[in-house]
Amino acid sequence: MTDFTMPSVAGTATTRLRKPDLSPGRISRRYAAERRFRLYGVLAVSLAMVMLALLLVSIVSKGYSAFMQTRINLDIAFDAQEIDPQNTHDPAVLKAANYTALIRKALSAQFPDVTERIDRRRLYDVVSNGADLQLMKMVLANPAIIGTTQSVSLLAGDDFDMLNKGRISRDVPEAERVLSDKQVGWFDKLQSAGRVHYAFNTDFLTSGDSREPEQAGILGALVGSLLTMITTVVLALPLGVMSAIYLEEFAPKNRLTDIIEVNINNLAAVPSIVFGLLGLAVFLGFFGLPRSAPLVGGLVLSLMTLPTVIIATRTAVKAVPPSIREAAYGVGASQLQVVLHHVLPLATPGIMTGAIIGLARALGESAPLLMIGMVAFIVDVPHSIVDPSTVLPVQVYLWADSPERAFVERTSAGIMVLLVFLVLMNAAAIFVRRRFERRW
Amino acid sequence: MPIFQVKPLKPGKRTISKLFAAALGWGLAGIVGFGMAAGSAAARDQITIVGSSTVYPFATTVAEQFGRSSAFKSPVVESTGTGGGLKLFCNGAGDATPDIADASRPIKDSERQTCAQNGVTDILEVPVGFDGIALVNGKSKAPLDLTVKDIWLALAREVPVNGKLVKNPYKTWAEVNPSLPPVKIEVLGPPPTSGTRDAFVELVFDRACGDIAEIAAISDEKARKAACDGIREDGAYIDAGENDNLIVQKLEANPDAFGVLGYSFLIQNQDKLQGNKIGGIAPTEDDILSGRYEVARQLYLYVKMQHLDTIPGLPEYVAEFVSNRANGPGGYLIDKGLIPMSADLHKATEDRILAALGYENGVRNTSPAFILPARVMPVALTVALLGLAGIGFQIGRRRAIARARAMQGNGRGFGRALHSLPGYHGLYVMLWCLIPGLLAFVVGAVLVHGSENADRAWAAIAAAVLALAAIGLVWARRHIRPDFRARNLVERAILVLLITCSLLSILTTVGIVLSLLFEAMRFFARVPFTEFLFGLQWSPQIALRADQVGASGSFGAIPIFAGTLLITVIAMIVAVPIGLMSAVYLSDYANPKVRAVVKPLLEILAGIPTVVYGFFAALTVAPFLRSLGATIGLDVASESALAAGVVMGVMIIPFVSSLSDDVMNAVPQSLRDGSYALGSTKSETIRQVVFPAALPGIVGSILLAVSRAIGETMIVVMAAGLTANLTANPFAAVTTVTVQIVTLLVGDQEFDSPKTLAAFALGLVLFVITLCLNIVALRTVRKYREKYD
Repeated sequence: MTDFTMPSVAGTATTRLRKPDLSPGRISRRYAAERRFRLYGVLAVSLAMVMLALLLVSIVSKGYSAFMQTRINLDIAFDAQEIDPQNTHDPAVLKAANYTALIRKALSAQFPDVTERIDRRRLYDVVSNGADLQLMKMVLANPAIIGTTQSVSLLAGDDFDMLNKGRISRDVPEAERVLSDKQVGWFDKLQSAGRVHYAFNTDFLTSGDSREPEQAGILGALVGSLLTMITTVVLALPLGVMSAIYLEEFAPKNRLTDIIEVNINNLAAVPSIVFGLLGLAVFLGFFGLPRSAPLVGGLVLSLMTLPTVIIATRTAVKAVPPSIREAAYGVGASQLQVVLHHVLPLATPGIMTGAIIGLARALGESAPLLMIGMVAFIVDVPHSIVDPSTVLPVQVYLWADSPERAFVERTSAGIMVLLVFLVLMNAAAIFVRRRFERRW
Repeated sequence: MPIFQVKPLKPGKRTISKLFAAALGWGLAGIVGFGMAAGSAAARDQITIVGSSTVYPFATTVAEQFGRSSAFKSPVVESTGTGGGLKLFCNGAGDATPDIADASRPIKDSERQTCAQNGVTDILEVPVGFDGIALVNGKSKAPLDLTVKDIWLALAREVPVNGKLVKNPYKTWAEVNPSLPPVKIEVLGPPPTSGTRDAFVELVFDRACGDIAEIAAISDEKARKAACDGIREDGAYIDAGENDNLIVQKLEANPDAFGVLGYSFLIQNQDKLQGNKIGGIAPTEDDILSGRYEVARQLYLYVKMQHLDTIPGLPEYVAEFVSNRANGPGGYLIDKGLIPMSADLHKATEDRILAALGYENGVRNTSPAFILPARVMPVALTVALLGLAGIGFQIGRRRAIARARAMQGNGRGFGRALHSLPGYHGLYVMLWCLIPGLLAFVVGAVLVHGSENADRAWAAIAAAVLALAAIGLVWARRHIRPDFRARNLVERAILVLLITCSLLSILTTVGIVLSLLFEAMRFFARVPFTEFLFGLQWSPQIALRADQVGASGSFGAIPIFAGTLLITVIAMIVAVPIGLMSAVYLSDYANPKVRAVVKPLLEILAGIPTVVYGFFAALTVAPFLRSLGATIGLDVASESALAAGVVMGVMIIPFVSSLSDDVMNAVPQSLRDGSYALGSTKSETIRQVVFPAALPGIVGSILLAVSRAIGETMIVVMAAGLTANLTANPFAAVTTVTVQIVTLLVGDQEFDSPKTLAAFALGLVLFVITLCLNIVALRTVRKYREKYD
């Protein structure tokens, strides 16, 4: 760029040279252009910031309420006739009893004037249809309560929960509302009787997925993510570090290593869904590994994370000054000893930083996991890396697709949990970098 | 003072055993995982269910209740459509095949035959209640009163006009029947894999044809059925995919369109949708139950009886499904929209099914839960092998010390006699123990995979593995002498390991290319290459059975490429100016404090998971654009390319900004200084000096961003459409390559249907295009960064 050919003053170029514009307006015009240009920059940055803020605000404002849950206090009569007529206290009998009937009786007792069949069924929706399990657990834990009447705080149905949170507006005409005026009336009556509670939603953090929004929790996906991440680390970190060490410290400069280098850089930019296709064809199709398992998810994600780890490791290893190596050689260490005993420990903070960032990316990834069946509906919290499971981002995707309105709130809350983990991981990366990294 | 102190580690026993411990830890984790995978391939303890999307909500609800109230795991339920589900179900008996198929119609004889051919001989049919099919639309219009004939005339491929069958000419409902409103016929319905579609054809079309003289006049039964059951393919009937929720959303967005849905979906969405009367009767529970509403059908489960005793929980799950608690007149499935059988019929069905499952008086003699040896064997073997390796390490180390002592006496200086440190001798023995053992393990696992009596085979494998490891150990131990060059050999082994690892990235690429190529070749064997690349029609839903009518797949990918291009262009229009100007501002104008805050914030945009952007696009941006369009009189689709494109652009901003920041920073200060010396302002310098100098690099970074946009999946899956429209209108719905890959591969996976293979062909195109972009981009970025160094 320094060898510009200056336009020759003589000849044709002269005609192209304009007379310098020295009018007073010229300078101010140039400064105005300068200010405009600067303004565009400010605008661009603020536009990006506004988008970020909008995104976060829209998610938090939609999702914060999922951490609270409406509950309804009912006086449940644990009728011995209904639960355990023979007084056996046999767990099998207690499990098989119809607890829903108890709840329905309690509700009917609250609203004796609701008699029509359709109305009754609408009334029963006030309480979540998973509430019977809560009663069953109570009875199993303490069979002595059979025959007594207890005040039990039961999960409210999702639509009523939404009503209580103001997500279903009372101002909308009845025809366009999920809940009829009657149902709203019942709920108000319960509320004025002091039976409606609004409590922290522990279920959301302690249970697995559910078809019922009010019972759906994030734990299953969280554990699935954890298992997938563990698999990813176990595979990607050693493989990535080892291959980076070879390339950086041992590899001769030849065609093969050149190809490997170009290839790694390209792999880092391959769309993630292509890794999913690879996983589907090779791990599921060829090796016959189980569908929906964190093991396969971890395999796919580790292939995806590998380039990041390799690139980070190479940078970190490169940053270790030659004096360290030379000193080690000087006392008679072999090449491998130099690398393993001196270079690698010194490069560890850099490697960890890169690995954490790569993992954070893998944690948020969902497209390749869709390909290997991690989108099935799974209630159980997985216990091992071969149990079917899903992961946080895929859970978000699944909930976002569900028709019930209450899932919008759950989706946003799921995103909030996911973002918290990402922030934690990135903070850890920054911490490691600030605290341990040595500049030479 | 930093915690991490730089102290050169003493190369001795400690470091080596540290190394050994680390290797052991990772190895243990890795191999236990491998062992568990091998174990799981051998046995399954969880029910798998496939089939109808209509039964899906019921099957998952029961699955959930079952999982919570019993000791068994919740079954895994996938929605594949009745036809697809039965096909998977009939693939054979054994752990790799589903245990239950949900169906929204009875199994066909042809399907029973396929089942029988594949060894699925004993199938239990479980009726589980009724579902009505409703013709629904958004609530903003008054409901219509249609007859089955109206519907047939509106949707059949050929209709009689003046006594002759011609291609369906009707464009509006009023042309079909003057009493209906003059709106365009637009019906969203399920694809040919769906039981809902089969039932719709059977209940509506077959009934209507009886009254049509021209159809009745066809003497050949097959031809008559074909003429009756053909659904038009000129755009009036739109395949909306297997996802019924999507139909609900689309109907909400378009009040003139109708949808063919199960009654349960109508119930779930009664605040948004209404059912139209058919034959004067609206779809209500009572009318479906009493049979007055004609378009209703029974739902079924098909249970593979051969799995009854091998899959834990299978009989209990089916029992739960038919129990009074779930399926009876007041059961929880009824709340989900299932229409119950009458109390008597239900009781009779329950008794019959329980008897068939082997229940007596409500109790079934279940075999106690047991752990299959094939499941624990690999894990136990792994632990044993690692234990043996650990012992080998100790043996090697001790022997080296002992022999050195024997040579040099018991004094402190015995180490001088050793060529390698004792730890290396230990590692040497360990390697000789691990490598043969692991090789045998892998070979054994591959051989035993899918074999019948896995238990016995695993016992043999265990014996072989441990024997080989022991032989290796003994053999290596004999080598150990003080002057033995253990370190060199161990280092060579480690180097081989390192080289193998670095070849892994090549292997990944080769794996990608091969798996894509292999499946894509199979696709191109059925669909000509040129049709795929240049065809203008994309509707990959292909008939799954020979007796199915009304659908033929077509695989012209141009509309998909165009859709991808449109969304990418929109994304770039957003990302390039904002990204570039941000980079300029941050590198040349902002003061360091602002930069320190804003730059990481900008990078957060790249760190947010794409599924979050997808949610944002679908739930916030798209409705906003739609209502904005409505206020200024524009018709914006609810899944417009604009919404997906804009959000994708936002995501890509940091990719453009940070890379071009790098490139512009690489332009030497001397060029800037020269420009300032000539009296240029900052903006003039940037525009006329820095930009041109950095242009190739900037172009490279934009190309990388383009490749990112093309490969982006979740945003478009959630916010873009499914139907392939060939249009350049940003307000219309288009589909992209990645969306199609996802929709083709999620759920029904048949590796012999062009539909599934098409996804791999699309994947290949995607890979090739992004690869080219990446190579060009990386090369230019690198080249111009170096040029100024």
